[in-house]
Amino acid sequence: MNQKTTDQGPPIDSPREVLKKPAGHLLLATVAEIWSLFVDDGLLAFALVAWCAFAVWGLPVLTLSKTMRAPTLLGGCIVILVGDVMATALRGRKGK
Amino acid sequence: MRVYRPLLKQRSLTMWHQLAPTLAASFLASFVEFVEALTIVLAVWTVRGWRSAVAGTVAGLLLLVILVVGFGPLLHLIPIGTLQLAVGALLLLFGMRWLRKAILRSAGIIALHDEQKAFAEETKLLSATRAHTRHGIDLVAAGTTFNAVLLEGVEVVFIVVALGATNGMLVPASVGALAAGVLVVLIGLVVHKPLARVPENSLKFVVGTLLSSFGVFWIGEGAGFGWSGGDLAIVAIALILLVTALASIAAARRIVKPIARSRVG
Repeated sequence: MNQKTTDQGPPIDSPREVLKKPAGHLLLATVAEIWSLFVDDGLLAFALVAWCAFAVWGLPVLTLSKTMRAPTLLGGCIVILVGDVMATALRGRKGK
Repeated sequence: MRVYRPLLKQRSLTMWHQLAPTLAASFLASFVEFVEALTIVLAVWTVRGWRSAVAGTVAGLLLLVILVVGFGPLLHLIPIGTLQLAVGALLLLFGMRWLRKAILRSAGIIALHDEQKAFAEETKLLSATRAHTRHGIDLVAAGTTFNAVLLEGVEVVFIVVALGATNGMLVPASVGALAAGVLVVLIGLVVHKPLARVPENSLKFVVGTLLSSFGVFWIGEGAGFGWSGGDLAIVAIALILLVTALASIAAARRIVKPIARSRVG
């Protein structure tokens, strides 16, 4: 597809193709960049969103005192972070 | 006059404990983003000259300004409770992502980010791509800096809006980001090398802690939980997260260490 090769390394596109790419890929790249701003480890992101949703809408339904709701929200986030880090460390250990 | 002095002192204290975390978080987070953009701009500058690098940078900044001016006022249309919840959730995801990465890097589980390596890769890529010049500007090179400035800039804009929009701290958050930008540009002009000595992981560690604190705080506020101590709770949450993160590094190192030992043995 209009690709040329050089002895310097990987195949490169013709100037016209290169010029097309940044414009065509810009939107996708921006969307991907915005997504990657918030989601790196999908499991961590999902767990945090699920916990926050439960805390915001579930805790008031439970008989948890009002003063305990904010600390519970924080506690859950900490447990998720630590759990994810430890799981990654264990995966790294097994992987090695 | 004497009667009002304690009141003024209390007010300025209240202002500072609101201002300082916002300013610090905005400055540090933006600094990291600007350093990443600078690496690419410098790579283009080195390989294809300053004209294309500056043209792409200016175009990227202009589009960012248009986006901010165009979409910024729409924020006022969102009810404050919804805004706090949405911004809080995004800040929490953003902050926890950085904090997790910083913990894993400090524990030696994933590799540290290397600006020098990123610079070398970008330079190599640009050297392998042919120039396509119009009016003295290489469009491929300008496109590269445009992309970098726009993408890193979007992150800076998000940080500023998220830190400032929910509590009327948009000006301090903008000042923090602007100061970081000016500082990085000045250092870049003087040093003219990628800022490889910037302790990027330590910065990400601190910023991740601060942004996560703001995130949890705003989710709690948006849900109507109410934090004891009001805005001061942000500092307390940051300290709790900092201690937890430091303990996590130590624990993760203990998990990984036996493998390193067995490798040496």
